[in-house]
Amino acid sequence: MKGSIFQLTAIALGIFLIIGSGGSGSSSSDDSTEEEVIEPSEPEVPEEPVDLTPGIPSNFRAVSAYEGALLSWKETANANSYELCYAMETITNFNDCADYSGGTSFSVGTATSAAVSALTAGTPYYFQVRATNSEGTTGTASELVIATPGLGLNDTGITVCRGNDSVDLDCTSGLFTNQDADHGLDFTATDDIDGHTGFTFTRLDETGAEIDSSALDWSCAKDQNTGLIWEGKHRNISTETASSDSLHEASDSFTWYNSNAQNNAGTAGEQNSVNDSCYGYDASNVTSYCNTEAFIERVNTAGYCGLNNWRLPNRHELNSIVNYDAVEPAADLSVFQYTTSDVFWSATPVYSASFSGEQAWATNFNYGGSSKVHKTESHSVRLVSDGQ
Amino acid sequence: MKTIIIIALTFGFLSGVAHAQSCSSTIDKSTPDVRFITSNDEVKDLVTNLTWKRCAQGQTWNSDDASCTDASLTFTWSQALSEAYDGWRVPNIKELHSIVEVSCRSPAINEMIFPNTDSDNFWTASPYINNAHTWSVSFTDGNDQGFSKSEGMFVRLVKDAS
Repeated sequence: MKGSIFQLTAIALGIFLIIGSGGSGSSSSDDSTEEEVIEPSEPEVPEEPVDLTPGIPSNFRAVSAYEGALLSWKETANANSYELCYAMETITNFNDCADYSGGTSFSVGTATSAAVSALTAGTPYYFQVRATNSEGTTGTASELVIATPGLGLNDTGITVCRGNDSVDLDCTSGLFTNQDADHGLDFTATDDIDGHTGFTFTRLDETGAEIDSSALDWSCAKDQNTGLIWEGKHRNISTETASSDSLHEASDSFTWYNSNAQNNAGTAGEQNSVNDSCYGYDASNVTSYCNTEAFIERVNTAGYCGLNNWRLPNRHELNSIVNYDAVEPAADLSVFQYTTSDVFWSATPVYSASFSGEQAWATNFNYGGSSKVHKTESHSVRLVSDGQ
Repeated sequence: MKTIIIIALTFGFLSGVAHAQSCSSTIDKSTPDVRFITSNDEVKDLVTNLTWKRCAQGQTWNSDDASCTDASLTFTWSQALSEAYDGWRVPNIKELHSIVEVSCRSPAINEMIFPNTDSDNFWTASPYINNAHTWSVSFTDGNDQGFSKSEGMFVRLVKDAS
């Protein structure tokens, strides 16, 4: 590397790019000398035309935010800038972005993430990104993703104040003011009709249509605070409210399985060819296996509540529906019927000290606490959707 | 021909501070930088619409290098609750969970946003409903656990965005 020029470029995440230019392997390189040794009679090799076609941004993700959304994607080839389009209906042609309901497009420069604000909470938005090259040519747009902006976090459900023991206390008393029950939606929105105190859910039938809160049976629940839609569970026991749809049996259990190497922490988990722990299991049919990925596929195929973008909730999303005001289960049973006092899987792998990727975060709905659980174990699942 | 050598260094190394934080590239980041708008010693979270103190109680904000100096202090639960002032308060368990960075550990937090965070337990304002404990969140790995209210733990304050 003697005689090389080094350029040092620090980029945001603390990665150093050290670009050495010059020598082509020989220890004493001098470009002008090298050029002289080329024989003049040799026919000039025509330069290959440089392909400047912008690539397609991959791994495009939208995450719900407060009256907004966070977007991120992977850098792609020949991208001089990125352009975003969002609308309140599906986008079939990026060029016509402004023609869609609420359609808005804008450039974000070379950034590979963006925050969009001032969107309408509770309404699904569709997002797409594309790259533009240095000549202004636009590339093919990314896949379309959906997020429903929310109104912030759910409150915990806790309505009582405590002192040093487990006895309820006046929230304004002495040394224990400013605790959980003294603040937030459980303090300001105590109506139980749409869920315990600060929780606000709308019940949906099997087609996704909203139904009255007095209905005795429903299929899904839309969280008006977070914008997320949750899978309802059922029991096919004759003494309880029956549903013909055994796919959502509350007592079914699944192993954690995610074959996407981008976000499975290096371990797909357990595909589970042996455990008959869910509806429809057939040892000879991989799609019937009792693992989370196969279950998600089955619920999407069924189009439950009119949706086909069901997924496993991440850890924060699963935590959002815990009702810490109750135990065994720590759930709002008026919305989430038949919730078992069991461990429910999240999609989030655990980054442990001896990191092996073999565990995922789960929430134990006995008391609502987090658990680090081996992916090979069989546990409950409640799917979530970003709406459609 | 150009030779390109890519060397990844931790941000802690760049700033000359010894950090033990490690992160995984195959777990989705839960708290990417784009989520936050910083304003000196405060930061607004665009996902939750909450505003956080970038330093723990006891630490001092250093605007020269955007760091938190001095040691974090420990408080009993009662002492922690009395740290509240002018809208600042101890977060409830869902609020404190919301700033856990699940792709990192020791500490499990975005260190650009919350510098010099101790890999230890922080109090929430949420008491257990069925015993005498209160929920805490460990920023070693983001796990939660109930502890006796007489335990000494760290505190990071939050307030509703104005």
